[in-house]
Amino acid sequence: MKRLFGFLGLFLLVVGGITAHPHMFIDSKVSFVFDGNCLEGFVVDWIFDSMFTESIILDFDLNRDRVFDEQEVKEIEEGAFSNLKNFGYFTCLRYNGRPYPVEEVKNFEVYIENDRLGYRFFVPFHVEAGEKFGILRVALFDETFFCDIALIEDNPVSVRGESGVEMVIYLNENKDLSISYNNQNASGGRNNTAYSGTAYPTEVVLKFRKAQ
Amino acid sequence: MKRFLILLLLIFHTSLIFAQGNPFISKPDSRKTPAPAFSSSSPFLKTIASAQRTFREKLGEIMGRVKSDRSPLTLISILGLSLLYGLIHALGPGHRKTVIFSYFLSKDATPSQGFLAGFSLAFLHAASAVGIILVSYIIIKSALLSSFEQVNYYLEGFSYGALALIGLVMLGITLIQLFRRKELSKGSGDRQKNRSLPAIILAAGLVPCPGAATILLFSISLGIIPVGIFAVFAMSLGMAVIISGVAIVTIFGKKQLLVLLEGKDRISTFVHEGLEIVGNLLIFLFGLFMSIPFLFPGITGH
Repeated sequence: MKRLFGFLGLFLLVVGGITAHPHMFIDSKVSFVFDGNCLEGFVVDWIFDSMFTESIILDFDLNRDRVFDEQEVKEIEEGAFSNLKNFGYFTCLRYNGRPYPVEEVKNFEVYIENDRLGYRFFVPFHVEAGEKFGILRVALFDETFFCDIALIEDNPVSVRGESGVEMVIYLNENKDLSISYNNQNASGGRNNTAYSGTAYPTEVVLKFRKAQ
Repeated sequence: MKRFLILLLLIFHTSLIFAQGNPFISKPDSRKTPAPAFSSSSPFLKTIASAQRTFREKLGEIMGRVKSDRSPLTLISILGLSLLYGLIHALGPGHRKTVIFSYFLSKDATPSQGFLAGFSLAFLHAASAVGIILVSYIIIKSALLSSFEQVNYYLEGFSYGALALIGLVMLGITLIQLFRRKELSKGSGDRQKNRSLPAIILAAGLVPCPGAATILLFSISLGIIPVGIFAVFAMSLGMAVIISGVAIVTIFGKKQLLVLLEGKDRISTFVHEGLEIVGNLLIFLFGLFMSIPFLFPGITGH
């Protein structure tokens, strides 16, 4: 009997344990926005693979000029972006260890760059630099793994508008702070989900304080 | 009992990953698709994802050149890349590998039946995507991606419901047969025993492959629909290799297990009957479990 369960268990682990199943591929970058020594939030750019690019053009760029006017952007936002609210906009953020669910984003834009579709949006997160370092961690990932989201290789992070701030930025795969889908306290705001499992996506870490 | 429960948990761990709609596209009830339990930190998973990314980008690049370069080399490259993409794509979860595994766990079958099942399922999986996209294209000509997602949503619900029903019927028949002590003997009963296979393939394969749909949408956008259709079927060939592989490994695995028990008649019969019940039960529970978000959208908390 042990052999039977051993066989079944092993087979399932081999067949089912392979859980990479992306259908979309997204290159991303993050730009932190400061107003003096206050962090106001960050801008996220997603640059999609050529196939999703053409699907969106096919559906929403009806005159096929590969430029999206105001009405087309509005329709894309409604038809192919707003549903991401249910997924926290694939954006997981923690400040000083505390998770903050992303429930709202602003200034949604759509553009084409090098024949690839780009989405740009602003994630508001207001915090003033203090005397001690504040640590903001931002991870971009799709918990359903329908989309494989990676940071671009060249300059994935930038900062704008800062003054009187001392900061350190680095990328990190934080094994100590895993995202647990069935533990709201440890999760990055994935509330009310019945999921289980652990992920360690690469996160952008911003440590900042008032210039000393 | 404890081991059986662990096994069920493993099944559902793997089955959660099946319901994959495009999260970008709004669904009829704005539900949130069940998410997989995964660890994206595994180097192997990253390699698989990275390979898919590379293959698809390369495929997109070559398909983009078709209008100006229709040489046989370009077309062969598209077919070859599609095949490889399908192979890697199907290595991931989904594509009804759990159903195929459960089915062949419960039935005595030959490798050729496993081979045929895998290929039929993969082709139906792709053909369903082609059918939906082309019909949408001919009839409404726009909003193809969102139309696909809408139809996909209902087909998924239907597929899971049908699998639950088929699993239940198969389980019922098995239990009645066992109860009447009409145990199936080797040789004569194989074909009869696998009569439910077409129904399983139909119910499981009806759900369109989003990867295939994306390739076809891309070809429509480029104005090279026939190339897109061939690419989709080359991709399904790659997927067929993996799904058939799962079926054949299951068939051989089961046979090996029963060979190990040769000479221990009582244990062998117990295991044989047990596998039949467990396989059918898994199909039923899988279908039932995956139907829940469709039957009761509120139950997931959204």
